[in-house]
Amino acid sequence: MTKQLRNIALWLDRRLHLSQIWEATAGHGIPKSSASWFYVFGSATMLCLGVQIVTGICLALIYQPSAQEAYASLHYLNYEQPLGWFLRGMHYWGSNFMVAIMLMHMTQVFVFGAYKYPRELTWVSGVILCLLTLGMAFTGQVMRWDQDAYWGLGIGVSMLGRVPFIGPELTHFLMGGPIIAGNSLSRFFTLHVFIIPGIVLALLSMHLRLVLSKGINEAPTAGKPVRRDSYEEEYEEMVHRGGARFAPDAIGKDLIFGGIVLGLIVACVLLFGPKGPEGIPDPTLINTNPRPDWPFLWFFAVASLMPPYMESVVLLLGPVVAIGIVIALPFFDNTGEKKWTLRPVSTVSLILVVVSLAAFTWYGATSPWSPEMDAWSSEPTPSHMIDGRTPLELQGALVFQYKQCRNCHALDGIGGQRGPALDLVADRMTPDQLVRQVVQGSGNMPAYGQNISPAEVKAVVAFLHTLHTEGRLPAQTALNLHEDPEGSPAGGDE
Amino acid sequence: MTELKRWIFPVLALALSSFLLAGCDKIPGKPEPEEAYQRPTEVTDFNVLYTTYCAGCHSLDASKPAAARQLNEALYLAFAGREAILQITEDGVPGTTMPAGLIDKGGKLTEEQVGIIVDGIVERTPPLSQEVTDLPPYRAELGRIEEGREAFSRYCAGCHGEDGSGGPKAGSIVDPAYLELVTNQSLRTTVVAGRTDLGMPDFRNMVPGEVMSDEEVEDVVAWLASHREEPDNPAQGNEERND
Ligand code: HEC
Ligand code: HEC
Ligand code: HEC
Repeated sequence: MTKQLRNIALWLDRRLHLSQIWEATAGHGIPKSSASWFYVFGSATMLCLGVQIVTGICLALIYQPSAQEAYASLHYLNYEQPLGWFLRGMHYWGSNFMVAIMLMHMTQVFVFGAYKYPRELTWVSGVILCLLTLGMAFTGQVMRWDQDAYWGLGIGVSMLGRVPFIGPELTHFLMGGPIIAGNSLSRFFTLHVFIIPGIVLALLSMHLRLVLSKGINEAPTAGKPVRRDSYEEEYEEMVHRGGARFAPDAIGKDLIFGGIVLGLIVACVLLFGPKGPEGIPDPTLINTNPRPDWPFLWFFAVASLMPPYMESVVLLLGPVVAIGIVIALPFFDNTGEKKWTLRPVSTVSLILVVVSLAAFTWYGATSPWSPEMDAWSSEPTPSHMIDGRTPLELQGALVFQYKQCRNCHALDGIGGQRGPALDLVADRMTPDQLVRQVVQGSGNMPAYGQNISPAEVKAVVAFLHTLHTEGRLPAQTALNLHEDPEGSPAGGDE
Repeated sequence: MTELKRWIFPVLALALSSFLLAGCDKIPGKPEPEEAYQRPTEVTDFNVLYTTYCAGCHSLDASKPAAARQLNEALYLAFAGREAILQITEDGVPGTTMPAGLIDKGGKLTEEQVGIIVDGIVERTPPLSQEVTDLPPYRAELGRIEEGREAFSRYCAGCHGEDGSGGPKAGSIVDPAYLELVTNQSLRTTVVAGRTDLGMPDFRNMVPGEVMSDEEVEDVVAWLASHREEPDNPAQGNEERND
């Protein structure tokens, strides 16, 4: 019996070359130094891709890529379909982990100098895979078709629109019309489930093929620089004498790490659940504070911090230049040392890039992008700023609410954070300066000018003038309290 | 390989227990229908509506006054009545900082939501502690200015100062900028219902033992209104709304 089975197996193997394929792929030789924990990120990224494909196919069974039904179908998944929320969560967290681990993979490859001769194309294909993965994350957040998605698309549109000559046509092509509408969702759906994944799978096969044919990079040793004429021989030597095999020698670590990643994804889903949807996109609903998903936060932070005159140039050329440099990296840094300690420029650049990306991401996640749209009608003026105020000052507090100053300025820590908190503004500003600030604005504060009446200016300044440290006199103009050199509309009339 | 054996069990156990957990109901990550996003026009909860659209200016708690009047006072409700409160909530008070509520009028609320807010305010108003028989009507014409001055020194000067420009217990109410920002109706409301949240008594308690008559209320408001100057900026008015 066993003998017969064995014969069948051998027959099959001879016809299908299964063990040869296995030998040539999973069983490929690797340098002993590569069977280490630093080499698990690539396979874990691929594992996440697997999770995304499986959960994505399941989601596609229910999800309706139309503007009318997208929201309802996500609602159905969240609340009605048993474990539908879990599926959405796996897909959401799977994508987060995929992006994060992919970035770790890239960092490891960079630190170990693995992009150098002869693996230039492995690096280039990897960079393009990275961009495509980010593309998947971006188009994926659009699938939620909620306000965040709408907002992210809006920024995308305004970027595309800046492209010289063909901007409007490009926008039209991607969005399926001059504005973001139902057509845009079907386009992004097609990108998300057909076009980008297709290219990802094709490029990934190339990437893996290259890993097999050019071999996995050895962990670098200082003082052993890459030389074009001798590297391949040395590598051959490393693999064949004293080398190891991916399976079974190294694969254990990949499996363990893969298991941990899966466990973490599941744990995140159970703890934090799927994201959104945050409500139907509707440009008339402005009382929201949308943010893009985290891989893009840094980009939006950069865009929001940039002075307007730089925006077009930086937003358009920045990505092109940055991607160009990363892709060209193996060509201008082709040989030489691989050990990071002996590549100071690379190491310092990496640290700079990582630190600034982290800082911008943090800024993007915590900074008040947009004013708090409801504060003016929802957050009362703190009672201690009402106590003992005159009727005019009370009107000033109302003007402060009504003119939506509160949407940008917090009192008692509550309210928008676009502008500085004004709890103690009278300590630092005289009434004249306050008048000027309100009428003329400055920086990111709009000039109220014609949109505020002289009486309103007078009232709001009277109110702000009461906000000072207790027991301390508010700031005054040195010469004459009531003189108003600018002749501004709230000029003293008593 | 031994390493693998050490790890594989805990990892599998974690994954498995997670899957089992996924079947039960109390999972932090599982979204609850109540937390689902609601369109602003679908919200029907009084507390949410009030705290979103009114609480910024009107308090419902005398111990935490806000800049505009507290709305759930017994005397105020008896004086204004549900109809007037409803109409003002729907239309706002043009030329003041009181915004229109209804979407058609430039606000954010549906008719149903305005109804919920007004009913909620009425529900949260305590009953009058004693019956008030001599309550003036909510709306009335302006009275006589000269008599108003007398009524003022009788009832108000003790707090607001002899000429109304501020006294020991309260600030100026004849400042033209102040008067430009309030309507005569709100002056009338203040005189009748007071601002008890700020320590300003109602029309029966200005001076102990004396109740202001209908005429005196009309006259005082006329006298206050006579301090208004022509607005410097005639464009300021109904169309001056900024939302
Ligand atoms: C869109 C958001 C926004 C709104 C609305 C807004 N401000 Fe500002 N405000 C700012 C910003 C931002 C600054 C800081 C300006 C700068 O950097 O020059 C500022 C500064 C100020 C300052 C100076 C504070 C200081 O310490 O230097 C005052 C006073 C002020 N605003 C009052 C007002 C008043 C009163 C209103 C309503 C009539 C108002 N603001 C509405 C954003 C806003
Ligand atoms: C930005 C501040 C602001 C907000 C927000 C606001 N109000 Fe007002 N409200 C005022 C002011 C100021 C007045 C006095 C107007 C006047 O001078 O007649 C007023 C007056 C009123 C009055 C009439 C008082 C009287 O004199 O009889 C009612 C009723 C009222 N508000 C209800 C509401 C309700 C209900 C909401 C929420 C939907 C609301 N208000 C939101 C500022 C506000
Ligand atoms: C017991 C003292 C007291 C008396 C008497 C009094 N007031 Fe007041 N009044 C106040 C206080 C306190 C405030 C709150 C504002 C402040 O502190 O200046 C106030 C506020 C006002 C306001 C502004 C309310 C607002 O919301 O804008 C008006 C108008 C007013 N009083 C009119 C009158 C008139 C008219 C009389 C006489 C009929 C009068 N007051 C009598 C204490 C008083």
